[in-house]
Amino acid sequence: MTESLSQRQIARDLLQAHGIVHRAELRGVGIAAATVSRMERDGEVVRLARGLYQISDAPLETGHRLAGSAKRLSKGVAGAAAFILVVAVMIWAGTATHAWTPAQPDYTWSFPRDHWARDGYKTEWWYFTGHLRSAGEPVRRFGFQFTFFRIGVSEDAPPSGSAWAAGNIIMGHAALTDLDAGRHRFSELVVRAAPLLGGFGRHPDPRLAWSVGPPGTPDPWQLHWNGNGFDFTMADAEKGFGFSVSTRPLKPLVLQGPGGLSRKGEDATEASHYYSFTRMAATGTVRLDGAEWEVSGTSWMDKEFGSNQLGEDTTGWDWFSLQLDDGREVMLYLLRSREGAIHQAGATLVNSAGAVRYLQPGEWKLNATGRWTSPATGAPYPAGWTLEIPSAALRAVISPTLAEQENRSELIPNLFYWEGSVRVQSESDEPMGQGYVELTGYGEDSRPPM
Amino acid sequence: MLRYFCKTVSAHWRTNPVLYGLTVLGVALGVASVISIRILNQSAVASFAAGVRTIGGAADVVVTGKAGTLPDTFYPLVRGTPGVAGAWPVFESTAAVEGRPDTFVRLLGIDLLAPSPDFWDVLTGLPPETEPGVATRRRGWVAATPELAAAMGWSVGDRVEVRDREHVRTLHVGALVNFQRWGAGGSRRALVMDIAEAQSLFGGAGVLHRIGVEAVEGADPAPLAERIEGRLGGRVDAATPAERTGQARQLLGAFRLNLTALSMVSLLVGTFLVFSSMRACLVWQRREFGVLRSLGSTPAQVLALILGEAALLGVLGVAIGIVAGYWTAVWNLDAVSSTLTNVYMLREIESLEVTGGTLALAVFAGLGGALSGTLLPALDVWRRDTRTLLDTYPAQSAGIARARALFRVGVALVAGALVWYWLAGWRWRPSGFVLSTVMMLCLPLLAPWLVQRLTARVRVPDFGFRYGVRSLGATLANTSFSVSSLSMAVCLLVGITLLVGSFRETLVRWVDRSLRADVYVTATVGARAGPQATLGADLVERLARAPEVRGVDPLRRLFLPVGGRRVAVVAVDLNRPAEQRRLGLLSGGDSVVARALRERGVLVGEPLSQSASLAVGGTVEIEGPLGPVRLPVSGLYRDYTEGGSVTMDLGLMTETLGAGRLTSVALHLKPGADPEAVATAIESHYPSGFLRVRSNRHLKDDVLHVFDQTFAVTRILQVMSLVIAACAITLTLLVVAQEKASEIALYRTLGAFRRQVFLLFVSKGAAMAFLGLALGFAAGTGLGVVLIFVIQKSYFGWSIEWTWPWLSLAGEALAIVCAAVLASLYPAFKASRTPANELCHADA
Repeated sequence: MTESLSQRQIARDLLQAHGIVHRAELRGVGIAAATVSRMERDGEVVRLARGLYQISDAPLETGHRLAGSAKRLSKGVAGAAAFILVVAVMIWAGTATHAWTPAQPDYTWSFPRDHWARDGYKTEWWYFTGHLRSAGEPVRRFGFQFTFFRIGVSEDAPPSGSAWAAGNIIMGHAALTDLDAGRHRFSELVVRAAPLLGGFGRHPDPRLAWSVGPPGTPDPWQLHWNGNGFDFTMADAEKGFGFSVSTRPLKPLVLQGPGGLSRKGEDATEASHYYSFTRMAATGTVRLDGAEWEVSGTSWMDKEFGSNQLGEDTTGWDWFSLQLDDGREVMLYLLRSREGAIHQAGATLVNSAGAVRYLQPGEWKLNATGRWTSPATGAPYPAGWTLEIPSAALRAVISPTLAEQENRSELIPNLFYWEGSVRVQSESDEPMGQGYVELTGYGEDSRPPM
Repeated sequence: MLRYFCKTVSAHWRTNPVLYGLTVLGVALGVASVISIRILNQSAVASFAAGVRTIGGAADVVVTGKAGTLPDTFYPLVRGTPGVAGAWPVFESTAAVEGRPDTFVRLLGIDLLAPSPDFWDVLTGLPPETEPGVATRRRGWVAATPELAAAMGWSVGDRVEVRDREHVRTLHVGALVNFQRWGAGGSRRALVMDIAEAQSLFGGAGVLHRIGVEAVEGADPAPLAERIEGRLGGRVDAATPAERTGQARQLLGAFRLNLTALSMVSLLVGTFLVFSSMRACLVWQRREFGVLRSLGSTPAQVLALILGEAALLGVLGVAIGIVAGYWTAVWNLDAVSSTLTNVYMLREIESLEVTGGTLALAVFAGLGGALSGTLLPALDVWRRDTRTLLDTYPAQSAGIARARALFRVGVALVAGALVWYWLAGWRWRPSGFVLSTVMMLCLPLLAPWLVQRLTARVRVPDFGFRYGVRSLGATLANTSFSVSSLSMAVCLLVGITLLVGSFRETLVRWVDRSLRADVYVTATVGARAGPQATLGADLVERLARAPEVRGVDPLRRLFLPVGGRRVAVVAVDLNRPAEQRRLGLLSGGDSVVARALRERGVLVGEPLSQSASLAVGGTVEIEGPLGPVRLPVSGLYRDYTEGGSVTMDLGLMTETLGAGRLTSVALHLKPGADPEAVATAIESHYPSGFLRVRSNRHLKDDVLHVFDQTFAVTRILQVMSLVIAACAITLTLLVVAQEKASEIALYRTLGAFRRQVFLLFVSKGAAMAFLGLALGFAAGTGLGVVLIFVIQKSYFGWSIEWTWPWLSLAGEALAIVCAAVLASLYPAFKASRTPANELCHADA
């Protein structure tokens, strides 16, 4: 106890002296990670970003070293990506004296209200993946991903007469995989959530999120609640693709994790509120290189929000959303530590009637069977898995429908991840379903999207 | 031979340092004058080009509003234009540092939350000891340049108060960032903050000053600029940096051309000096070459020796000239910078640029000048036989014989140039420079014969002044060069004096006519009145109600594109008789104003009418904030602003270009009120940096100060030319003293005192000064005519009334004679020390 208090005092002195301190610096003076966690839990320090701490009530000018912090961060993760987070967080740190709301087990869900943005939480995203087929002959098959991220800068837009005043940053990611031609395209945008550029609607305004398109694209990106499902549209003139999709849930909403709380780490606050529509009918249009197809298919939707999802040691994750032909769906995730070990995992099985079962850690097994190295980033991704869930009599082989489905950001250096369509087959190569897999944190200096 | 070369070079330097020193000085001065102007020219353009660079790196296209600003609602439209890869909004303001009313900072509001890898690179690439602080949206957070922080004594964490019009804002220095690496306008005085904060703090909600656009990789920015303009219905200007820099080049073109022409004249005079000095060196070494030849050296080896030595002197001159040129540029930086700011409304020069091209020009001019100046005398030595080289009395007869022929060529050249100009040349804009060049080049052609003819007429009663004058004709080859050099310098001096004197007098009359009110109140943004500086209606109301004020003349000014260039579009109340008198109409008087009011027309300044080919009865198209507006031209008026202006009635401006606030007001005071006291009272009532209040007298002084500043840089060139010419006189007399050593010895033998020889040489110097003055004055008058009636008219469109600035001219003449006499003192002293036994050496 005495030692702990002493460590706390040392940590306090260090934080008072430097304002913002990296975890390595704390470790360097003999302060254990557990002490820091306790101080954080007790509200003595605020965790600004991964490995960066600030004393809770520190005045702004107390030796804040933004560039130095960002520089230190860039050694471990992506410099620029880290910087934007640091900027965002420090902006918040400069204006707000309270912490963001962490994901809590006692959260009371309210739908459809919870489809809209949840202010107070630092990060939030709406995530759609799916497979589409064109009508008529020849059939064109597509995989798609559409994501809107909200990154909180401050709880509310600052009191300002400027139309540039912003409380959030909007990040949009979209990808289209032409499964027949074997081509994958990715588009992105990052703008401040200001009236001129984009924003998040308030219930019952059907607009959930919207943003100007990427530079060079006149059309905006939009996500609407259509009363039953979601409508979303995106375009990227420069990349030559776009899609407009309307979805309609075919099965009930699924809370991921008990009470919709998805644990991401050992710390109580390392969690998010998470729900999904695991199977939705999707119709719309796909535009690619000037051609346009009327399409239909199925989609998967995730909505997640929280303030401190990732634990300090989490460097990336493998995430699976599988839609089986027998009407069941499986969601799996594995969080990896810096050393490559799986330190957190979770799985949800939804039966054909929509009943949900949260699988226990020993109840399922996922093994990577192949590897694909990105020629662009050099990141070595797993490419092929076997999945076993004996309690559900499920043995499946998962393989990418196309190897090259890596999303590489041009706006934020070192932000790249694999997000792609996969096929699910039996061990005897019988088709069993399809799905999407997201692999982050692979490769040197790779940074997950969040 | 190489060893001999090395040994003799140092020996020559030791034995005659003045001669060699003057040669090097000649090259150095010529080089300095050329490169100092080039450095200033390039720095001016580079400074503007740096301003064109936008946030996030160098933009491919810069989008600006027609009236200086653009609504920020245009931003998504610009960003969404096909072909755009990135778009960065910029809000800009200027504020005075509280407590230092003369110190202004540029505030750049940018989107700090936009992904701009370049910006991150700057921040994350900072050295650890920089401790830049935190980027926060907290009110007033700014990042400053290290230079600005050092100059102001700021450090990270400091609170800084700046004054924006009537409000004091508190800023927090959060970081020190080298924005020049990043390209934030390239300014050392920049403070960067988040755009929302900048707009909010500095009252610019909804307003942007520019949008920097990056084109998609490999795309041509020019079509993208057109697409952006098209998408926004022509309500913005989208230009590539090359186009914008080109506009600045064009804007500064005449200014730069004038300076470049002057510097080239200095180089020409410098080349003459080199010619004279190398000739002097060769005369001095003549017998040495004769000895070398008699010992078996070939003419080619002697030629190589001469050229080698010239090259060495040239290199030395270049080295000194580069340093001198740089410091001359530094010395003139403030004057040129002020001219750019005040006259051309461009940003000031913050740093000087010395490019590889400038250094190459210095080497080319200096070395080329030295070698070309040496070539003729060297070839003369090369083709002479050994006996002639050893002869003490070099032949002068050939030079005398050629004098008449050269004179005829000179006359023919001048006549030819005039005829060419009269027939066709006047249509060609640079024809004035052709005329000036011909005029200057003719002087060395005319000088020998004129010197010979004029000196031959002098009667010589004794061994005194007139003997000295007459003997100039006997050493024509030498003296004519000095007279030529001097006459060219005088020509330049007189021409510029006539231009500046006439222009200044014209300006004084124009200002007297234009400035009729007692006190002028102008809204300012930063150090100068700018397009976005306006006066609030309440302020104008308060000024009008002041007890001393009898009446108020309102003025609203916008800077809008007219005829392809941005000019001042001024609106006044044309119904007021005072405004009608103020305009200085070129013809028609009050009826022109009445017609303008009747036909809803505009009055066009003379420079603009010329550059945009606008005539009474025609129409002028103004690209206004609400779209293009075509208005009839009702009259023309005298105008001495750069680029010209358009004047219209206030009501017409509101109707056609949109409503807006006034930019300045002129106050007419009640009888007995003291304008100075009223100006001081108004200024003290309002905070610094918000208003510029000047009395009539003060404003006139300011106008003339700006004028004098504009021409200040020409003074240095004039002085340089004069110094070069004085050096030429010294060199010539040294040559004469050397060549005529035996003759002087003979005089001494016959009983001439040293004092008499001394005076003889001084009189030679004075005579050369008078001859140079006479020739230069005649040519300078011609140059003045060309500058005033041809060059200024064609490049600026200014009508300048001819004036003889006698006082200035007399002062300059006196200075020239004094310089010439001073320049002849050393050679006179040397000559007076010629021993009598020199006669024996010559006869040996």
